[in-house]
Amino acid sequence: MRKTIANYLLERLRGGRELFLISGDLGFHNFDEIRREFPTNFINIGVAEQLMVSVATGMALWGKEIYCYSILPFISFRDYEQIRMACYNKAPIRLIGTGVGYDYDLSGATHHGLEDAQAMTAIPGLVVLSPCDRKETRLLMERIEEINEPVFIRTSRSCEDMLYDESAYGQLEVGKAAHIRKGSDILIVTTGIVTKIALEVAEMLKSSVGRSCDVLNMHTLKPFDMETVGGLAKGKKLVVTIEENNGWLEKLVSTACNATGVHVLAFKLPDEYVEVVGKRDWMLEKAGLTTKSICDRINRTL
Amino acid sequence: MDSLQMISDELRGKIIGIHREHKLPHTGSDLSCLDIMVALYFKVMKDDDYFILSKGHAAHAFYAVMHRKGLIRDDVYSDAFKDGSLLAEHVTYPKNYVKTGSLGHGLPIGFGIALAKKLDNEGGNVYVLLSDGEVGEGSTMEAMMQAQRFGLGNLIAIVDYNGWQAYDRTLVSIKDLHEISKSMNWDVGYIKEGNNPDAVAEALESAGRNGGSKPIMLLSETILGKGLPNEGTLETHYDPPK
Repeated sequence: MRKTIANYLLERLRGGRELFLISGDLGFHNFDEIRREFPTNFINIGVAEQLMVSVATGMALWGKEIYCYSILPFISFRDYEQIRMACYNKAPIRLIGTGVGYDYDLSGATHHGLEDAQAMTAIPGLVVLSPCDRKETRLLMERIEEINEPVFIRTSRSCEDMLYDESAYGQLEVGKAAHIRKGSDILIVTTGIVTKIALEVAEMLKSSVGRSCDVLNMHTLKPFDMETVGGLAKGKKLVVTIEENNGWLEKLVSTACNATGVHVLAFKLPDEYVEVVGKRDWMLEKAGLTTKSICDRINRTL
Repeated sequence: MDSLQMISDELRGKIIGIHREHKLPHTGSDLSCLDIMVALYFKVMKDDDYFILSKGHAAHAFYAVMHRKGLIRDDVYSDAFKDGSLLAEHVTYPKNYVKTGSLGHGLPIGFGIALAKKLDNEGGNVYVLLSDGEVGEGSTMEAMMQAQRFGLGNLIAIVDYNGWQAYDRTLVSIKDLHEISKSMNWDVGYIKEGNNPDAVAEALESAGRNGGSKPIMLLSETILGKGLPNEGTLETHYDPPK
């Protein structure tokens, strides 16, 4: 996804757009071309995430189009108050964090994006995006050009090109849930690259036990499309949430479904800083976030 | 035309009166840096200059100056600190100024503005007024460490060195701050009489004409609560004037 973003920014720069990318000393190989072709527009601010966001704030207040890049926890928690100040001052900066959930698997818990979703959505005035694949990332980058507000984009390294039907991408709108599969028995709500798992779960439930699922992909976590989630939950046997986070999607969806009385079954990462690591797939399996274990639990619940 | 000293005296009286009436804190902080802002706004700054009050708790001194300049309307200023006030105890107004209050944000944001101006070959300086205690914030140090990399000769930091932070004597001495700034490649200057607006204006004007590529750090020696009977004491930081 970050390569998608890098390519997009490069394309815009080549097209004559004046924009700036500030990195907190990260992005080796990803931004090489931008750096080589547009040395003025690429700023390595150094290992100083707080400074990165504040400089971006000042530049944005002076009318510049600014993107900042770092690994997810360092661009969310390390500079949390700087982001808060940017939002308070209505500086339309764009923050790009890489490493949702266990994306930086072997790096350990300092690099895991476990609790960023709730932290970032807590900030007034910040738009929080959570794309599921490269195509959606690209489209969201295009859409935010029309938004004059600060934006936070959480991305993953391990992602697919396209997860859902070509036609559905055309309707993509910031703040509106993407209804990427239609069904009648179960509603699955998901966000980020685990949307892939959600679609596999829907497929497996259909083929193995004949249960059909609606799948909602929440590429925008703030503003959160409560209405679509609540509306689709009505009359369902079960609502399922699948997220690579420690439970914020579950809480948002539970709020949206409160009036429907439908039970919400959550699949998420454990609320702990892990001390044992492995490859992402292994870690997700340990957390019960695999297609098979999710289907088994859904079938046991129903 | 009123002299800078007359303006300072007039605003000092207003600030003390309003703080007494509303029992407001930070009177000492307002009065220590008031003369710096009077010098900036009534003598030094030109149309293409920009100002950030990083020590946002001295907002009232800023509001008083802006009101005297006609940049805050009478009704807005007279409603200050009442229910429905647009003016908070930390800078919230006027709209085209950076809102502050949490320490350590003004210099890095000013850095960004100075950089944007430089990229556009735009004239004018960015003046950032900091407290001495605020230098303790890591984010201030991040900005100090890197400003010279970008040749920000248009960034002028002024430290209101009154020797007191909120609960102690200032933990970094003015001598050490001088050394730190110098070692980080800033042009460093002293203002001996930080509560004499003419002396401050003179120092600021000569610094602003420097034309070099190094950012400028001016250490201004001031008195906390200047003009109060108990000036120079920590009490003036929080206790409203009697």
